Amino acid sequence: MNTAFLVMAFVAAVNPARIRPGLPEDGGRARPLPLALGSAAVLAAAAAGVYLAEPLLDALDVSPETFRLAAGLVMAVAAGWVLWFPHRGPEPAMAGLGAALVPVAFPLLVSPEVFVLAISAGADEPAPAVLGALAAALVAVNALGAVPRRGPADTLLRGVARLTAALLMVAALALIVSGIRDV
Amino acid sequence: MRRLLFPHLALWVLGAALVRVALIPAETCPPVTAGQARAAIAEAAAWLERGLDGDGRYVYGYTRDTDVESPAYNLVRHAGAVYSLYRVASQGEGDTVGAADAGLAFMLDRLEPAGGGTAFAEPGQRVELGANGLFLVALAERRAATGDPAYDGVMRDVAAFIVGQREPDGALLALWDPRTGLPVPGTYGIFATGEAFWGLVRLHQIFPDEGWDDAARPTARYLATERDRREGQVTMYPDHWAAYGMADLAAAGERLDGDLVHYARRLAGFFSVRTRVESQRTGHGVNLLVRGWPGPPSGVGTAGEGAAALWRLAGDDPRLAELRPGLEEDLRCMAGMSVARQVSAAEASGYPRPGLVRGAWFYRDYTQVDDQQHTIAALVDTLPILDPTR
Repeated sequence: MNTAFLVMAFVAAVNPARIRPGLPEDGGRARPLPLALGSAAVLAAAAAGVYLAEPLLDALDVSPETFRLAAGLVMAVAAGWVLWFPHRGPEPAMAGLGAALVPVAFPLLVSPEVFVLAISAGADEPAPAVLGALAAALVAVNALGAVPRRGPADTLLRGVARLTAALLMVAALALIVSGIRDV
Repeated sequence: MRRLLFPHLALWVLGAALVRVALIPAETCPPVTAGQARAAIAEAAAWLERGLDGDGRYVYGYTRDTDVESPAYNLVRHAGAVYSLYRVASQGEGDTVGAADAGLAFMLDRLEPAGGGTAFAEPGQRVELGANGLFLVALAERRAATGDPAYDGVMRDVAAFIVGQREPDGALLALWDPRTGLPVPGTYGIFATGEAFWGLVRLHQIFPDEGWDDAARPTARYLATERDRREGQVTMYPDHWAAYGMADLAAAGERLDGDLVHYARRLAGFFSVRTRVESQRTGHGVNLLVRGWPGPPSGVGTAGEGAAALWRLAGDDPRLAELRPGLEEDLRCMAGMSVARQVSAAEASGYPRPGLVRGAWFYRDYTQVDDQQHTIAALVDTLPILDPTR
């Protein structure tokens, strides 16, 4: 996995366009503080996951190649789901800054596809590269959150979400092939 | 809020459980020592030796729960068994030359002129390329084990038969018909081409100035670039014989071209995933539903043989050096599983014919000569990893 692939895979797994309608809003824009705090929390949690990926897989008696294959399959299922259901409605939110945890961090940003990708990449690649790629995806979410949802925005978001899911499918297939081919 | 979060959390827990059970069951690789591997090799070689009949044939197959011996026989597997016994001897792991020579005599008794050379076959039957490829390999291994040049002429004649089966692009026809005196057009064997390719390479190792590498190279290219498409394979076939051939070509000092290096790398991946999946199989409970029974020992062994050959190749060719650590890990795993799954004397004593059970590897209740052949060869070739001082 090179850096460009990691960025593409994490952006596709996070899928900013799909989660955008679920973010807590204020005046048509996502509330910036909970979004930024939630993103930071996810990055911190991911850092722990990435650094612990190898010991975690060791404890599970799973080789990185096998997990990569499994991660690819999980991502492929997730991509198929989003291709079929690109729309994600508003999520119930905790009050105040608690919205950073629910729904921003969970369930919007931390999805199964993001989780398995972080563990798989963490077991295979240097942690800074993995976390940098995830950070890029989170920046994209925050940037999109600042754009007001008006007029045909949701229709556009659905289309972009589908395209992003197609990218996720490509990344998933690449991981599957790599999991089969690598020793 | 709790009510809304619960479905998400429940899905996560269920999903994680599903992934663990169906996609990433634990890969269990029992620890193994060189001594245990040597003991397993000796037991399996003894199984082959006990199965010899007066004609030089080995017991072909045996079902332990019904005490039924298979009436079938297969010349390719016979030649492969002879090779594995010579391999044990050539690597100094046992005195198996006698048991191998008995099997060799069976083949020498069936030699007949074929194509531009000589080949062995059952009288009146079509001559099989793969059986003769492994016949050639067995003779080469015998020479390595004994230093005896008595069959050098036979080797050259068998190689001439193989070359006579070759098509312009390096493909090898799998059959030769004694009635027409010609190769049978359009017949290709899944393994036969790799077996014959390896035979030619072994001959080149012994007689490096006779040009047998030139005879082998077109087939090597065919295997690496054409075979799967032309012979209708949907995916690349994990051909451990081709891996052997490439490893010995490199060991003979020949540089592999880029296509062969790429092919070797892809083969390594297939052998690796085969071993990893095998290590996930427990044969009981839910695992049985998602992973099936522990695989046929011949399949486990062939993955081990291929991985061991590529491990050697990776030691000779720096372009593949990065494969070595992973292949070592896979080979240790294969050896551990094989040692753990071999039937011990104590386990065998509960069956009607313990001598046909002890030392063998079974797929459920059936064992076949190639289960021992491939596993022996894989274990012998893993010993340099298990015992680096060897």
